[in-house]
Order: sequence, then structure tokens, then C-alpha cells
Amino acid sequence: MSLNPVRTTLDNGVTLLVKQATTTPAVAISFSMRAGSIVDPAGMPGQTWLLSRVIDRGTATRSAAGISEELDSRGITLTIIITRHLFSIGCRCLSEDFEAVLSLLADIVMSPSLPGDEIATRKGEIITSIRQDDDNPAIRASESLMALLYPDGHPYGRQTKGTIDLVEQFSRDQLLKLHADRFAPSELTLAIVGDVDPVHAGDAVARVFRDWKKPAPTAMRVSAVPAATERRRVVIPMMNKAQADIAYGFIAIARNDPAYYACWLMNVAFGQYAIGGRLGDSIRERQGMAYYVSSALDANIAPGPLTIRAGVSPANVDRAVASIDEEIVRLVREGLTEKELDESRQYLIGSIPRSLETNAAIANFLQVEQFFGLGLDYDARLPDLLRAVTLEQVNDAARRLLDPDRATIVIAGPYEERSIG
Amino acid sequence: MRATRLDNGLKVLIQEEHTAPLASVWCWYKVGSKDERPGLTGVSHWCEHMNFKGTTNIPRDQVKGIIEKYGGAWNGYTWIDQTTYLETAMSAALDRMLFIESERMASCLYHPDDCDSERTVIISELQGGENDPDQLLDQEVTATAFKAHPYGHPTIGWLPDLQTMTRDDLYGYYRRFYVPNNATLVIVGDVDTDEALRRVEHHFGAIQPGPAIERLRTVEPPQTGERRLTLRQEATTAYLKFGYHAPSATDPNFYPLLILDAVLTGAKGLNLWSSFRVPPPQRSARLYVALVDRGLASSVSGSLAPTEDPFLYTMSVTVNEGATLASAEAALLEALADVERNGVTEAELAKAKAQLRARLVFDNDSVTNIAHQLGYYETIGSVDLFAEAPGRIAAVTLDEVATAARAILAPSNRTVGWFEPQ
Repeated sequence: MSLNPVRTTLDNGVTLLVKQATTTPAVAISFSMRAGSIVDPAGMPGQTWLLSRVIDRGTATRSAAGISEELDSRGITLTIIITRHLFSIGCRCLSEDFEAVLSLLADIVMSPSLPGDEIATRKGEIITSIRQDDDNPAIRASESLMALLYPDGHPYGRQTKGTIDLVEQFSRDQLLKLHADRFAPSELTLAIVGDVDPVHAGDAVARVFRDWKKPAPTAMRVSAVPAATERRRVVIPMMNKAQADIAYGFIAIARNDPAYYACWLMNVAFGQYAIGGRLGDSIRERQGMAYYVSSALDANIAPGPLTIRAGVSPANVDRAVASIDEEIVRLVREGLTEKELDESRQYLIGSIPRSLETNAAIANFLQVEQFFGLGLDYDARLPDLLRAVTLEQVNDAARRLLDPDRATIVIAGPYEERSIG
Repeated sequence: MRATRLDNGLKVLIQEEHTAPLASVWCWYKVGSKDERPGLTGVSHWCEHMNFKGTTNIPRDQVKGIIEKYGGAWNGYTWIDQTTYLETAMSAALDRMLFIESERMASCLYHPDDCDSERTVIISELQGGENDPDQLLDQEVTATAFKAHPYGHPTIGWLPDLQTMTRDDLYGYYRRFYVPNNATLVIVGDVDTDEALRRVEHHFGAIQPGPAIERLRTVEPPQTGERRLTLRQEATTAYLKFGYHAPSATDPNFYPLLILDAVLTGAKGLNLWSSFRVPPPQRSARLYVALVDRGLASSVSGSLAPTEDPFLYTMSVTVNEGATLASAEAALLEALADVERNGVTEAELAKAKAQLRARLVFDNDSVTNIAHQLGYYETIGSVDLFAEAPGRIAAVTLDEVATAARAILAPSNRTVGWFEPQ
């Protein structure tokens, strides 16, 4: 079974992917604009985030209250997500509401009015949210790790929400300029999945977007960052907390790296398979030290990180870090077994139908397919791509990405460094 | 949907859904934290953890991977009325999923070393939860709202109980509640009902029923006055929480309150497994307008779950930097007083119903979510409640909402919690 979505490109450059699925009388609509946090102007991290909080609070022809009413009366929640590269707006709606909701989303994306009072209110929410993050050991550990791996204001290392001082200063004009500079038809991909006829969906999209004409913005380049050459360890004491969070990572690979599938399989066996792969087996199952431990590979346009995260009692921090070190050394020295590779491979191949069950999941998959240029038949080709990976390639991937002597480690929580060095 | 019962008392619910080559199997037990006596709080949840650690016929080292090789996902959860386990995988793995659940019901090991090692994992889970001030406040508000009923203690348990519970406590509890006459098995997906039923009989038919379980008789006495508590801790953000004693899933006031919650904070739906993953449509909801749009709060939410006994309807507010707990509480009280006095409008009622209608459709978008709902409702009352829900929602009247608002939002029925950062 293959998804076989219908892809069309409008004259102005908007890309549309449609997949009909009639499981429920509902449709998932997903807009992805290539305008994630990397487009924040220099020295202004957080502007895109603020834009994402106000973009749906008024347009040239709709008030904030009017939009709220249109959404709420249909039971719709807009999900607006900012990643490093993408500004995504999505929702689920009943099929009967499809056209009306599509028009509303298009209006929001093309003509936001960004009212001043709304900006002021949403700034308050963001500032509170930054303060909450400051009190959250898991977020502190992860954000600090990214800032250490990607230093000097690199777009992958910046705080997506910005800082309180900066957020307070952002002006409506700056947000209007950001929108004018970066939102353009050439940057937009729509994925529409659900109980809607592809021809009908295509006509509706053409109707709402055909008059939107803007030149393509200059492409943003994200530079690669050299990998760490030594082990670094940073402690953020938060003595008011009960549990410590560990973030332990490396700069890994870009999505288009030929070793991507080997790295993916390696990461699954190392830190995901069943509960947390080899890491989970050691730290949670055998030693009973943590409720959660796992690793994640975030291959991106530029090389993204491989991050290991664990939440442990403060008394177990040193033992948990030592166990992560040991598992890495063992993996690099001895490699995975053929059985472990087969298990991870079988798992990933077998989980494809499950990961493509809901409309929203398919829409997300189509967006990834489009963003990384993987091809419309990617879901059908994926099993063979995974089958082609050899044990040697997986073990090469481990040797290439993992090394305790070059690890960057952040510990946040009720823990203090007892000795330096 | 076919509902049947094996001779040993096991209820079986099977629903065919042929849209994807998948099947979801859930095994539900009528045991949750309300079945725990003092000194053993957290035992239901700890048993859930132990039931992933190998059985007589699935050695410990083979648990890992037993369902993953079919691309499957598995999980489990414990709450106040229930403990449940699930696998969703290729439908070709149905027999394997049934085998795992039959082993879990009858043959878990509870090795003493595993019990000890899991103690620290669970304490780590508890401490991770305590890192979140809002969760801590929720725990304290719930404990303050209940004087008699065991809904008052947290499902994860109190720390001293987790430190002292023994392997025999755990195993005894497991043997008492993990019997076919206390369970519901649900299968939804790309299966043939007759064949699936034959496989259920094959795996579960020989498991002996246990003695009838004596059920909790405690009824929480009516609350006679407002209760308040304040937590003061080093932190950055203030949180406010209201808890009102709420009707159970079978109480006639449940659906009017569900509508009222939609008017106040936006409709969530009725699926605990999926509804809370997507925030509710709430921008025109009364409490959002009163608190968030006015800059007093960065978020407001309401929570009402279908439960076997009367639990709580809670409202949670994250107070904005620069605003005060007192000002947020005053605004919340004003909005609630208005609805208590005047009820809701015809337009609000229509909008709440439209929201719930959409959410119920969205909640049925996967075999996993459908199977959850069938088993959840059968465990807290009856699967019929699930089928009736759309009609019950559609039938709610303005008067019923007004009556529910007056009965439930009365100040004497309220517990107020403040988390004040120091």
C-alpha cells in the first residue's frame, strides 16, 4: 500500500499535496511555510515565535474575535508550530467545514493584520512561558545543550522564544516586516488529507491562493558547525526541584547525508527500541535509575544533534552519566549485533502503517517528504532503504557520531558539581 | 461491535475496522488507585510496571521486542478507576498480542530484584512529576477536596508508601485483581470477529476466575464549605486551581456539566487517551476571554473526565507575569458567578454542542483511540455509555446547564489552590 498523494504546484509557486482518506468525515489541513526560527533577524531571536502567537489574531478583513468565533463554532483548534526551518499551521476539521476553514487559514497566512493590542497580550503570555521554562530542568538542560553545541548565535542554538528583554522590545512594524520578507507562495506547502476529493481540494486551493503574488525571498543558509573536540560538562543547579535532567549530546548529521539510514537504525537500537534501546535496558531496566532515558536523532538541513536525555534522582546523576558513557564505549568498541540491527529494522518497517494511520499523521509525513525532497513514493521506498543498510554501516555510524571524550553534557536540577575537572 | 463474555467471566468487545492493516488490543482491569487502602497507595500503578517484566512463558529478556518485531507499539496506564495495557500492531500480530495479554493476566513473575529496581524508577517518576508546580498543586487540591473517598490520593502513591511497600504487597494485589472476571478485553481493527473470538478463547479460556471482588463502598460526604490551600516554593510562576466535586459518568448532571465546561474553557471531548493531546477550541470561551484576553493569565483550562464515582471538575490557571493570584482568582470568580446566576446562552449551547460533535469525530480517527473508548467506558460503567454519548450531548437543554452550574459551582463545593512562587 502506498500513499500516492496528488501533487500540484500553482503558478505562483504554492505546492499542494492531497491524499483522500475516508475513515472519518474529517480533514487534516497543514500549511508549512519555510519561515522557521532561522529567519529571525540577527540579534532578534524570538520574533518568529511572537509572529506565530499573533498571526491568527486578525486579518485585513477579519477581527480577532471573528476568527475565534469561526474556529470555535466548528470545534477547531489551530496548532501553530515553529521549528528551526518551518512555520506550520494546522488543524483538523469536519469535511463539511473544509472550504471555509481553508479560506480562513489562507487569509491568516497571506494577510495578517497583527493588531497592537493582540501583540501586547501575546507578549505577556510568552514572557510567562519563558519564566516557566526557566523553572523547568528538562527544558533548561536541553536548551543549554543546544546553545553549547551551536554557539555564537547559530540558528540551531538560539532560544526559539527569545529572551524576556527582547520580547518586550519587539514592535508591530518588525513583525509586519518579518512577515512581508519571509512569507511568500514559493515557500508554502499545503498538505490536505481526509474525506475530500483531490480535484475539489485542488480547485479550492487554487481559488484562495491564485491572486497571491510575491517574489521568492532569498534562501536562508545555515552553516555547519564544527563538532566538539573535547568533553564538556555544565551543571545548572536548581535546588528547588526533586529530579535532575541530563542532556548529553553531539552534533550528528544532515538529513541528506548518505549515512542517514544507518545513523537512524543505530539510534533506534541504541536509545529507542522498546523502552529506550540499550540505554533504557541499562539505566531503566537493569539499574532502575530513571523513569525516562532515550536518545533522539534530529537530522536536519544542516547537521542536527543526537541527544540523549534522562531524568534521574540527584543521587544517581553521576552513575547515570557513567552508564551513558559505558554504553557508548561498548557500542563503539563492539558494535551492534546482527540481531539488534534486524530487530530495529523490522520495527521501523513494520511501524510504517501505524505511523500513517490518522489524517494528521499522513499530512505531517507528506510535509516531511516535501521539505527534504524525499519524493512522493518515499513511503513505498522506505522499507528497501532500511533493508539496504549493513551492520558495518551501522557500526561506522556509531563510531562517527558517538564518543564520550567529545560529549557535551548538561545537568539541570537539584545537583551541584562536587569537584571541577 | 460484538460484546460477549467467556465462561470465566472475561468480557470481550470486538469491532472490525478495515481501513488499515492494523489491530489494537487493550486489556482493561477494574482496579485503580481508588481500590488502594492506606499504606498501599500507588500499588495499582506499581503493579502495572511489574506486569511488563516477564512471565512464566515470556522470559524477561524476551519481553523487549515481542511486539516491536511487528512494528507494534505498546503501553499501559493506571488511573483512579482502571489499569489498562495495549498493543497496536499489524493485524497479523493479533495472536501474539492476545498471548501477551493472557500471560499478563495469569503469569507475571514479580521477581524480588525486579520489584526493588522498579521502586527507584517509580520514585523517579514521582519526582519528575513534582518538578512541575502545576502537577504538584493538582495533587494537593485533589487531596484536600476528598476527606473520605480514595480518589483523594495520587495514583502514583505517596512517597512513604512507595518506600515501604513489599514484594508480597504487590504480588498479593496482582493476584487479587488480575482475574478474567475483573477484566475487559477489547479488539478493534482489521480482524474477523469470529476468528478473533476463537483466538481469545484459545488464549484466555483456561484462565481460572478469581473470587468475587468486594467493591469500595465509601461515598464522599457533601462538602460543606470552601477549602483553600497555598503552596509556597522557590519557582518562577504562579498557578491557581479550582476543584469542584463533579458528577460521575452515569449521573444525569454529567452531560450538562460537559457542556458548561465547553462554554467556560472549550470542548475537550471524552477520550482520555487522545482528547488532551490537542488543546480545545477555546478562544471565545468565557474563562479564556475573562483571564487570557485580559492579560491576567497565559493559559486557562478545564478538566472533566467520565469516572465511576463522583470525581472533580478542575479549572487551572497559569497566572501571567505581572498579574497576581488574587486578581486572577477575582476574575475567575466573577465569570463563574455570572454563569451560576444567569446560565449560558442559546448560542453558547449550540457552539458547545458543535464543538463536542467535532471532537467526538476527531477522537475516533484510529483503531487505538476507538478501542480505548470501548474499554474505558466498559470499565467505569458500561460500553453503552459511549454509544449514547452523542445523543446525550445533543439532548442537553439550557435549563439543565443552568441547574448544573448552580449545583456544582456553589462556593461550598469548591477547593481553591494557590501555588505562590517564592
